[in-house]
Amino acid sequence: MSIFNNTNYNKVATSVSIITALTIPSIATDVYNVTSSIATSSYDKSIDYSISKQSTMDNSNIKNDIEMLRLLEIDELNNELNMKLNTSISKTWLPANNILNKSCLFVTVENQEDLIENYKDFELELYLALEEKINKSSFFDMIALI
Amino acid sequence: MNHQDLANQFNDFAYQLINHHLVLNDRIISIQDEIFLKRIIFSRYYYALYHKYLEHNSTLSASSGTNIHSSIRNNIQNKGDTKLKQVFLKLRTLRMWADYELDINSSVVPINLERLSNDVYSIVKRININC
Repeated sequence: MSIFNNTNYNKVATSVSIITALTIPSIATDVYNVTSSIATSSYDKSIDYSISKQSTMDNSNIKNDIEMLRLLEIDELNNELNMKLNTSISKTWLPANNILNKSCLFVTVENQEDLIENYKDFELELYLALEEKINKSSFFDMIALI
Repeated sequence: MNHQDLANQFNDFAYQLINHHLVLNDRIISIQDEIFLKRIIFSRYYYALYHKYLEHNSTLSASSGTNIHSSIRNNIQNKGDTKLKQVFLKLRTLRMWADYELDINSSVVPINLERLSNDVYSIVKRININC
């Protein structure tokens, strides 16, 4: 299911609209906390989303909306991964995501070393498990291991 | 020099840099030096695949247009085999980061070079890339 048909997405999108209109930081905190658990790495750009970036100047609201949608997509990929391969994303790296319309999402998953040992090509399995979601993604054209 | 030769040369060059990187890792090198090295490795590996693809696509190879990169990407994304698609799109992102995202405050680049090297090598040495 696309995030645009997703009830949770619509709820969050409504919140995002409220944030955009009123710039109430407390709502942003709640939404951020939903997705922050999948973005724990020090080099993870996703974690850059924070209240401090909630400025009313320039186009920062639009940037925050895009960042929010990106986090939601990663969260959706994480759910699918959990369902299909019984693991979850523990770290992400998003190089060139400000340059390319769609870029590769680099991830580390829980028990990665064991999974690499158990599969002939776990990185390929990872993509095949998420291929349908990736094909519909607005931000990512591939997923690969860090 | 034909495209296969160029693909081999770029692949070999990147592989040598990875070996150099492994040797350097025994010593203390700055994060900046490591990032410079990885930028070159990613770019060379991307161009290894770029020329490997052109070797197998005479139409694009003869083209002098400016959209060769996006044409290769579209062809591989729509018709390429899954592993080629994964390695190419992964390297495309890494190459764009390497060549255009010039943030000097970058932190450590968390990419497994051995896995990347094996992936590119297996494709560059293929007789046919099924595109």
